[in-house]
Amino acid sequence: MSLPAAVVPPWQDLDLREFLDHPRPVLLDDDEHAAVRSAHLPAGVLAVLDHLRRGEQATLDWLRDVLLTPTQVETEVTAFLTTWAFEKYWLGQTLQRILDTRPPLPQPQPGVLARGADEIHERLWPVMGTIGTNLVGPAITAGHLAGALADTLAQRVMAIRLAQLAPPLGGLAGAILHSTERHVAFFTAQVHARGGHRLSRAAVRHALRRWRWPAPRRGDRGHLAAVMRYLLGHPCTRDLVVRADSALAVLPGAPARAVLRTEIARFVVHGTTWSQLRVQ
Amino acid sequence: MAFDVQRFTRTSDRVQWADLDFSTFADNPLGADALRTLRYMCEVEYHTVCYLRDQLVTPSRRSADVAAFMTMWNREEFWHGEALSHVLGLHGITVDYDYLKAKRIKLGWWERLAPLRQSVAGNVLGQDFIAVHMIWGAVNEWSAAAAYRRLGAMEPHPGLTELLRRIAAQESRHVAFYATQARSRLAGSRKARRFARLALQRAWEPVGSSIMDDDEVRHVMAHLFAGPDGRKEIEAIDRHLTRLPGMDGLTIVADAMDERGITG
Repeated sequence: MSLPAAVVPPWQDLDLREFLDHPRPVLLDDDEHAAVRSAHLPAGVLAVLDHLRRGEQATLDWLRDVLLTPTQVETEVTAFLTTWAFEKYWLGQTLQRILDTRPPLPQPQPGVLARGADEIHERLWPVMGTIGTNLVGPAITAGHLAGALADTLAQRVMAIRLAQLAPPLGGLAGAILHSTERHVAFFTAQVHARGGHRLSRAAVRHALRRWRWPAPRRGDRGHLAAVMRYLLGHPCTRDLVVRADSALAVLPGAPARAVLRTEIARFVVHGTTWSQLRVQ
Repeated sequence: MAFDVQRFTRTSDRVQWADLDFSTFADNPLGADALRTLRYMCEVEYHTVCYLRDQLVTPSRRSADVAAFMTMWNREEFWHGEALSHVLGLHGITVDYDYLKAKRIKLGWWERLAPLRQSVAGNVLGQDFIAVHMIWGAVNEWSAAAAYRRLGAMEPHPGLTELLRRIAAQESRHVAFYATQARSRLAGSRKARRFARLALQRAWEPVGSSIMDDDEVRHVMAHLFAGPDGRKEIEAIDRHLTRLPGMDGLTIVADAMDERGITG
């Protein structure tokens, strides 16, 4: 498998029954863990792994925000998310196990503004989101699914870059790609299936316009920028991102701009120098 | 004894039924009462993701142990729904995703606003809310395990009995988690004990009451828990509950049965 091509897996009709019956949790066996443990991993790679870990371990934050909207009545989607959350839990555990064998990394603390914004979101979204999204209606689901697809494609870009930066992590990256290819298939098929409705297309456009690189809400944006610059600041990233953006561009209602590329530009082009130093 | 969440997550699996022999249903199908009860159980199990939603808006989500447990619990309960749906399907009763979606839509605004109400309670109580969540979960899981045991004892189909035993065994592990968490969190907070007691006394209803019609709730409770054997199970749940800190003297499950005229 060519890694760049693997950003967007070949189109497949997802068999939901097969997905539910046979989850693909990302687990490394003891030998694979031993190989990763004995490998030299640059500090930047460890920071990326830690970023991924914190993202996976915040899966329930995303699930909360989605389930209190009309998406909760979409039984196919909630059935999918049940197994999806299970797979993401195990990816978080696997990353934790890798990081546990290394000296602890400094945990970036969010600033006052970020903490305040998180607290407001934490307390107000269940009120505003529950009422607001239920007034909008079922179209909101298409936006959630489009955002989740962009998240998954970004995750695949990161996995491929990790394998390029640290070949001993090739097994981990391959397992992430194998696990998430069905996520891509599900989200893509669901967004296309909902594309006939004007409001659904509007929800997709809105979700992709305001899409942000996947990161835990309680994170330090400066640290995230540094991690992203380290991971994605290489010219070879361009091809990966173009492929991911191409998959998003054909979604019904997709905005004209390139979703991932625009977001990366915020980090890679405009990222701050001081935050870059923290990773190196 | 402490509950090992890591061990629970490592061993968590979907309930299996492919090895069970359900062929006896062809000549000896379940009766109408049992099928109605199974359907109730099936729908409630499928609804777990909505119960999960209600807990995710509270401080429970940010406890690593509780978050790990809820991820596995949600999946196991979903598969209980799948297993029961399979048994119902063998009797010509379809409980599929389209039906469940229609049912969720029909529940209306009151149910959709559940996260809002739960979130307000969580914001008011803060970390103490987790104790309320845990004791509530414990009572529900004790009830569910008792219900599966009762149905297994009442229906002499080896395949079904074994399936219900497997489901009840998973419910018992959920009980162990909830009860262990509830015990330690209630012991450490007077406010949590007072609120949990008040919440259980004022608001607890049999599992499924929030999504099923009263007639269905009454039917299932009477089918499973009327008579001396059923009453023993009910009293055992209340006894378990009263062993938790601050819950002495509570008889909420027996009271709920009495209110519905279901007696021993």
